[in-house]
Amino acid sequence: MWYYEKRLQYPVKIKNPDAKAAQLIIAQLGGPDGELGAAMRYLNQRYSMPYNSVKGALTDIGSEELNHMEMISAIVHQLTRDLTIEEIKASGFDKYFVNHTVGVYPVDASGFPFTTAQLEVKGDPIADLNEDLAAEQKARVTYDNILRLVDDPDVKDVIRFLREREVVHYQRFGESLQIVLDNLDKKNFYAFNPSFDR
Amino acid sequence: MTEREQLLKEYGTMSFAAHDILLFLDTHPFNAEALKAFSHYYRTARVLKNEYEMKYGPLTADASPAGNCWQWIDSPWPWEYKGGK
Repeated sequence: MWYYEKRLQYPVKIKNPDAKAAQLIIAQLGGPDGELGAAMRYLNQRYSMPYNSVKGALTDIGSEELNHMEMISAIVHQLTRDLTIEEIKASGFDKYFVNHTVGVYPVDASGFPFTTAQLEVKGDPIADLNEDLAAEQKARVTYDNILRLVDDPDVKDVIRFLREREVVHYQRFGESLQIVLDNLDKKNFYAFNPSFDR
Repeated sequence: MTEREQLLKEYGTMSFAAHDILLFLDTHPFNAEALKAFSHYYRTARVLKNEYEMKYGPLTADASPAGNCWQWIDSPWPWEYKGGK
């Protein structure tokens, strides 16, 4: 179960609306390497994870991703809530606006809606943790690209925080993978699947 | 930054430190230094959370004080920064 705490993990305080930036940053809500997918990927992988350390890492990193989902949504909200209809038309945000007005809906930067096809639960600890390591790196690259494309310092400060968390999570998942390998047959890591073969 | 924002930032910083060490402890459960640091940051954060809630209202619904009014819904929602206006 979870408790809601009425604050963001890192504050989001954006002064100026920017529809173009919002359309890029929403990739980290509903896109393939976004925070919603990250939370679902890790929290759903827990049930077939046999080792307590790694159950902990998946639970606690997955929960942190929910914080990040909220921060990305807050960025999108603050970048779009005060847009004028002229700004919406000029920026290309009209294609999103026609369906969602200025509500926050998980899509990628091209408007494609969030899909669970973008994440994986393989039910095998080596496969799942390699997926998670890749996911953290892909999210880090997306944040690097956002930092190249966006100029507003209010936005960049938050994006830098989120980018750093990807690096920390990658580190923890690397340690998790090592813990899994330490529990397996040293001569053949693939001799059996500890999530299934007893 | 208002006094309210300053206190929330201090609490958030301590809480974040505890959380980051928690992730480290998941994969290093016997690390004595990290166990000690977690306990320190966690306790510091609890004190600051209580102080904030006494002054500015609940951060978690269970901290909403008994009374005539349900305070949980009235404190600011975290995505609603209005500084630009």
